[in-house]
Amino acid sequence: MEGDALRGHLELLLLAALARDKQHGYALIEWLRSRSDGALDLGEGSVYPALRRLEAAGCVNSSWRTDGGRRKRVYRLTKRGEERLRSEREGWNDLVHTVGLVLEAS
Amino acid sequence: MSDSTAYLHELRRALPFGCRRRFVAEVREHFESAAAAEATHGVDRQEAERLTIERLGPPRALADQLLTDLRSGALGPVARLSAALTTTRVALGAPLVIAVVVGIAVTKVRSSSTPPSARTVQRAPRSSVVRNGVTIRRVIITVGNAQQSFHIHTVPGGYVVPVRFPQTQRP
Repeated sequence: MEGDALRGHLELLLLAALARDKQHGYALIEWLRSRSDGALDLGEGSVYPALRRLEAAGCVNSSWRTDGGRRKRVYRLTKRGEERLRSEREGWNDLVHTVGLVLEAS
Repeated sequence: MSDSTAYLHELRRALPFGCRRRFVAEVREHFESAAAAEATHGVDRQEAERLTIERLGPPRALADQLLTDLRSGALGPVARLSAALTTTRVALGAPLVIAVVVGIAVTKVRSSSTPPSARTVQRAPRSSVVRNGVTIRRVIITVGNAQQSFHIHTVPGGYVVPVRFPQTQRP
């Protein structure tokens, strides 16, 4: 699944990834890729701006952490992020259900 | 210069001041993590950097995504202002430099046309002259302005010899 198909769902995917645990950018990308068995081919360059949008919206917060001698920007889900994830998950499930009904009927 | 260094350099240039440092640091760390991950599969550093650049996309495109968010206000009002300033920094910078240069020039012209006053005092390095086989050390102090100047020769031993010269005869 590439670019356009993921556009609009990227933030939902990032929120879902962060619901597991706090992570830095590269680890998030790798986790999403491995979780989808490589099906999610994220435009990696779009992940960092998306994380900034989520942070500006108060859905995640971030801080520098030193790990293995390297400084990494680690992101965590906030309360607002949890609420948004719940809301968007419901929206996604509704969409899948609705589209499924139409496809099954055809 | 390695591929990643060149990439980060271009990215830095394309980003606004407000978010440049953090964003570039994050992408630098992305390169490091990718190189470390690829190394476990036997991929060398150069190839790892090439693959990472391919996945990240051109630095300009990456910066443009961030700038679009900044301008739309998606990253908050302060970040939006920073983006706006980045866009206009060249337009603002050129007139500012010109204004400073013109200001300096005007100040110089004005100071050269002010009424004469004793506003310069210069002390020349010590020098020596030989008179009648005797070496005399002397110090010349010049006090003057654009129209006239006074040279005061002092010689250790007591002399003070004030001599007035027109501007054109200044030694």
